[in-house]
Amino acid sequence: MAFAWKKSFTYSKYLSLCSQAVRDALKPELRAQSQARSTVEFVYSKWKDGSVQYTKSGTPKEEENNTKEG
Amino acid sequence: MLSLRAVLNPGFSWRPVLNKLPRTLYVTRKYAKNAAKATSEAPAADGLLLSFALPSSTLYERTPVTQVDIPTEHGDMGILKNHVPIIECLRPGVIKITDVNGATDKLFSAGGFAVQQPNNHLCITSPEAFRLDDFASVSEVTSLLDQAKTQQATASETEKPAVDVRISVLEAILQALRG
Repeated sequence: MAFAWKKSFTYSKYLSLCSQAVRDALKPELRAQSQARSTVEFVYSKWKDGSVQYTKSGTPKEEENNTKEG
Repeated sequence: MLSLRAVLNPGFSWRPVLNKLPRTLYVTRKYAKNAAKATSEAPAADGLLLSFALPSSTLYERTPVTQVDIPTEHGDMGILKNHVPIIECLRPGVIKITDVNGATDKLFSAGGFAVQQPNNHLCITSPEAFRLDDFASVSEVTSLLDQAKTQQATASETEKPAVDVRISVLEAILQALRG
């Protein structure tokens, strides 16, 4: 079924799961190089008055299952 | 009715008046027309141009190719030159690129998007994509798949979807490595 992941995840979470599966299936040398990409999916900074307050990194959170049911 | 009272009314629109004038006397909005025209930085090409980019590297940059086979959520499709503009969400799977000399290049991508632009430019973006010989051996990937399957048997309802995704991606990798 197309877009089956929509029931369970946000797209970013689904994509990070797929990327992690691909990285884990690589040859050991390449897997080591790619590990940095698995711990951090995005980096964000809070700005105030033209300067950075803090910088944090994160991975996509899992969406609550079945949001349509409320 | 073009009276002073009508013109001063806040709801007045010049459009009906302008429509009666010859078109050369006023400017019309041409968003759709301009979007369809080739831009100066990316002129329309005779053949298909491929750009394939990952966040970490660029694999192809406006490279002339003959055909690109992409696995999309709607099914597998092959993009040739002058394809109608489309935006497709990719499944984890093999992207096969046939260049102008007939040589093929296969890359397993973790997903992403393929966008066919109106100027014969196919843009594929993916978080991870590797050639098939960058992957571990079939037996190693099979053992990863078996680990995931045992995890699936004992997973709770909330963990199951994530494990299912992992299993489907590993199965796709195995299929690509074997086939």
